[in-house]
Amino acid sequence: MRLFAHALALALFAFPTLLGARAPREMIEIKAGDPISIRPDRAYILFRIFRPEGVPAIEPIFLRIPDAAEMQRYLAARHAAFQRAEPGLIRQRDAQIRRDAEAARTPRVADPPLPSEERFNFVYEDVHNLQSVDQSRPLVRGRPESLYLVEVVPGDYVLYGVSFGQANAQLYVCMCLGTVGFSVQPGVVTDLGTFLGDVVEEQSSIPELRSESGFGPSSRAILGLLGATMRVPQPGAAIPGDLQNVSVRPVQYRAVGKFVEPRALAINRLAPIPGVLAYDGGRVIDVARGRAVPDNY
Amino acid sequence: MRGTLPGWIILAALFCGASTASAQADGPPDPATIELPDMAPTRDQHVIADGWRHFYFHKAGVSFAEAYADFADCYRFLPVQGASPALPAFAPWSESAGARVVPRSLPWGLMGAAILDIVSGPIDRRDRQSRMRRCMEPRGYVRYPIREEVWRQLIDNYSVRSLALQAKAASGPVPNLPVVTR
Repeated sequence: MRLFAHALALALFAFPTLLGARAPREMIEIKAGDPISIRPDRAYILFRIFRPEGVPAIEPIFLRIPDAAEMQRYLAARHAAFQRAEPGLIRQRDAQIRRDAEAARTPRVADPPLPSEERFNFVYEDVHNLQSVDQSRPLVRGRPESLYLVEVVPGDYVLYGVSFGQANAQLYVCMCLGTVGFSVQPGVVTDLGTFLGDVVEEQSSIPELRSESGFGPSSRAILGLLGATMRVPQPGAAIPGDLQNVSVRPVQYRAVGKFVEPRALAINRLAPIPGVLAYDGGRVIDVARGRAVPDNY
Repeated sequence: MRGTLPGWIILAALFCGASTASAQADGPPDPATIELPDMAPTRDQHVIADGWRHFYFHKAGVSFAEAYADFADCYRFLPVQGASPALPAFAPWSESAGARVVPRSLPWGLMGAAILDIVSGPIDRRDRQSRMRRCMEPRGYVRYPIREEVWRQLIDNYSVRSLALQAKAASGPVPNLPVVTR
């Protein structure tokens, strides 16, 4: 039965993975054997994926917060697309109102809202600021732990979600209910620590995920719900020889509040991180500041 | 688009949080005006065993208004049916992003269509329940089993009306039933 469910899930979720023309990938994994050269206009993240026996391949998805110029382009593109679509949306709305009136529903349903730019379902792909790190491309492959070095655009990042490790990454789970963010500087390697991910239907064997696992079968939509967290960088953690002469700084995480992501297949929250991220009921707590973090949107 | 709500309400709710947000802004209705289906606890072992499929949320001591606000907040995270599973390229991080919608399909012709028809209902139910669990349970809500037909009336396909129904059930008396743990 489990096998059938997996086959079905693959057919349902992997088959229709149609991608339009997109901006090129921003985040470049530097894999074993690749030359390492630290570009002054790029930042680098270094982290490990800890995957003990019985844990499936899971990879993190990072969001780079768009800068002001990118947001201007996004908003301009949305405005132009909305202008083109608006007459059709108005016709659709009028037709819906006519159908509702003909159906004479009781109680009467409210008229649909007028089309607006804010409600416009606009898909934008000219900037590629949301990306998974391909777990099959480590700098140092090991078991249970592999090491990853990734070239990224300098800026502010959010650990946005997780995906099963597979050829076509999906936004399988967003960490919409609480996560962490961090900044990376040009010419610097930032050590993020260790990424921990597991299916959380059963109790996880990873200690940091125990309190956020064991949710049972109703936590699964069709594939099991994924949980994740970060183990902060440990002092004296091994750094590959190729990076011995490079500035490696430990990450400074900040707690990030809830956000709505309608495209994720499931939702979760990052498991608590001592000194960084905690929860009080549904509220996200910034442990360092001792206060709740507001929702983003 | 399945369900009792016109598509625009679901789109508004899911892309912009509009209907739940406006429901919140309007404030919860008077709970005295909300008529629940028959919530009497049942000792039917089939219903109890099936509780992981058909359940309702409850929190001892919660007020109707607080429960209403919790459900309204969590409804924001309900799924967009048909949203493409591909990892999107862009998120603006200032507002909820638009979703590419693709028809759900299976590749095996008529047999695929038949399978899809059978599995779609349970997939949609579990998709929504999984999200509601992750959002509601950290707030202290637990689950109790109910009969499937009562569950359907209570959930009402996650309509705006169901916010008040679920909030009233959640803030009602503690049922003499085992909590659902699966």
